[in-house]
Amino acid sequence: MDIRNFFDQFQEIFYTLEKNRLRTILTGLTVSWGIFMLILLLGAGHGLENGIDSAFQEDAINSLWVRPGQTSVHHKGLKPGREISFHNPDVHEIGHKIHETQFISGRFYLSRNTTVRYQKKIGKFQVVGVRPEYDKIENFRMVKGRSLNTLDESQNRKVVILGIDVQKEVFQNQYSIGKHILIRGIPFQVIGIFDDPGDQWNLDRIFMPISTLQKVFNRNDLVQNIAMTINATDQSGARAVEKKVRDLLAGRHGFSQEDSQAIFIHNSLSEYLNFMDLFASIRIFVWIMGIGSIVAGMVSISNIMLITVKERSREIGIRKTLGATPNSVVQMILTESIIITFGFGYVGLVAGIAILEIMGTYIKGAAYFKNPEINMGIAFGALLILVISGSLAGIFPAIQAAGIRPVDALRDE
Amino acid sequence: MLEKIHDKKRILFLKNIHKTYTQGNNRINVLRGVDLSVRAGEMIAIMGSSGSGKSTLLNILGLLDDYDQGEYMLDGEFMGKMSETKAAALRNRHLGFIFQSFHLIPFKTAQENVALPLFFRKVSRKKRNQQAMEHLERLGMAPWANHFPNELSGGQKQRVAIARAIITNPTVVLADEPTGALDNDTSLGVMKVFKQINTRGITLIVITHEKQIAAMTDRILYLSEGIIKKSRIKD
Repeated sequence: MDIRNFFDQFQEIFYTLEKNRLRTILTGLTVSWGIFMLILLLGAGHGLENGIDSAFQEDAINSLWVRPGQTSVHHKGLKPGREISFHNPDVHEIGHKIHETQFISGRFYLSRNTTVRYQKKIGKFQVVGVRPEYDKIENFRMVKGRSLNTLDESQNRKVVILGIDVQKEVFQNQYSIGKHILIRGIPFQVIGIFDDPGDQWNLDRIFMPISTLQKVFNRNDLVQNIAMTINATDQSGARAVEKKVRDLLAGRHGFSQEDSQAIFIHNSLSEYLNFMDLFASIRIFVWIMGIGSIVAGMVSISNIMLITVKERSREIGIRKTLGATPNSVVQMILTESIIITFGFGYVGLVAGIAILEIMGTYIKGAAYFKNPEINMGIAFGALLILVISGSLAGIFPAIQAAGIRPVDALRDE
Repeated sequence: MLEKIHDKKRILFLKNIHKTYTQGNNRINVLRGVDLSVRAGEMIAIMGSSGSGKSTLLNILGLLDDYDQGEYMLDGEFMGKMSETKAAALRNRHLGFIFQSFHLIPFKTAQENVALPLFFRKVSRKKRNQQAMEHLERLGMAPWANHFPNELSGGQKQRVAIARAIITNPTVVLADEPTGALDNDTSLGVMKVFKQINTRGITLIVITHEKQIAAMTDRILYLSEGIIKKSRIKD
């Protein structure tokens, strides 16, 4: 077929579709809707995945958080109901004996309503004692000044870093680095301001070396909980480290390794991997739903095309009488079906992407929802599915059209 | 007149054509051995009562239906069993069709309807529109070229259908009750157009009920009980 004739065929088909605008639009809308929903579902699923991923990435995803509890079973002659409490040696021993440990810190919280004063300004904040490595576990971003260091810890320096909300409330727009604030009447020097996109609660907190807090506020070597990051990349690795920590603490504190109430371990990596598994399932579900809606659209197109062929049997009969071959009729119906599917599918695709863009812009600050987008591979895949589904949807009507006998079609009713 | 006809080439030839339809358990012998010979440039009428097999004969002549037995030769070529693709090509090359109910495509303008047979010949859009316009002009339909069929009168629709039938310069034009849906004056107008076409050398076979219309042709054939029983050549 020469190229001019090819375009002429297309022009003829476009002309027919254009002249029967309502029928064409009604036929195409089902496919538009199907692909629109597929893109929207995929994009939204992706946005949710990005949101969760981002929330995890802003804290270390490979972190373990250990807090003490109360024993619930008898163990080596000890009754249940014993309170477990952590101390500095627990932190040191985990750090030394469990080689998968990357960064580790004990934590101690003063009251949530600890009075903090700067000149005449008084506020209530939570003060937390941590080791210098803690900023790596939380992924703090230093906005001004510096973070805590090992000298601050070893020399029990009275220094603090402030969350940006604390800085705003206490110092407003004033420069705070090097200034002294009073915590329960004791002066501490501000050495840094930090931001923490992964945990909004930290922005309202003041952190100081745990050694300083224990000494200044008489907490001896008490630790309320332990935070650490670990070297593990999969569920089983993360679970193995978790078990090692539990076993070590069970040995040190004399509780059963099976006692689930003696200590509580929150395993971020395990949780993150669970989420990723969940999203893999959601992705499969979304594809099944999306492809289901495209198939529904295809069936609908095929049905409408069948009705259309029946409606157009006289026209097809006239065309055949005037010289249209069965092949040219098949080509006409198939091309119409593909054009409708592709054209309207493309409209649905663009509309879906546009809605995702709008969602991405307007829901920027939403927790657990970020960049709802689809990648080009999926977009092209969807277009390919459209062309294939258009062809499949058109096959039966086209065969039916090709089989129309002009002598029957033209018989006067 | 008979001599004039005999001088010309035999364009269409049927010998002992049979056609049977099956309806439930009944077999209906519609054509029972039709013999027909038509020479180039002839204009003939086929008459007969309802159910005599006129339309079946026209469908066979137009390659729209096949026959059970006999021989059919069109423009020197035998038409036996053939694929629908070949039949479509032969229809487009040799035949023009005119129907009682016009059979124009409703969403195409008069010009586009006339140009349609050339589309199947792969003639460019520009050329086929130009030729369609020329044919509409000859039939006095140029002012209505951009009108849709529902905007035309019965006579105008039939002129458009005639233009469509002759745009490919066919060997034979087959007209099935072309004036059946028209009033008297319009029918006579359409027959005048047929005469003009015929003078240009196109063979015309017209099926009609109307004696007045048949009288305007060169030869009248009477079909009865599936065979041509009588043939009358006009003086």
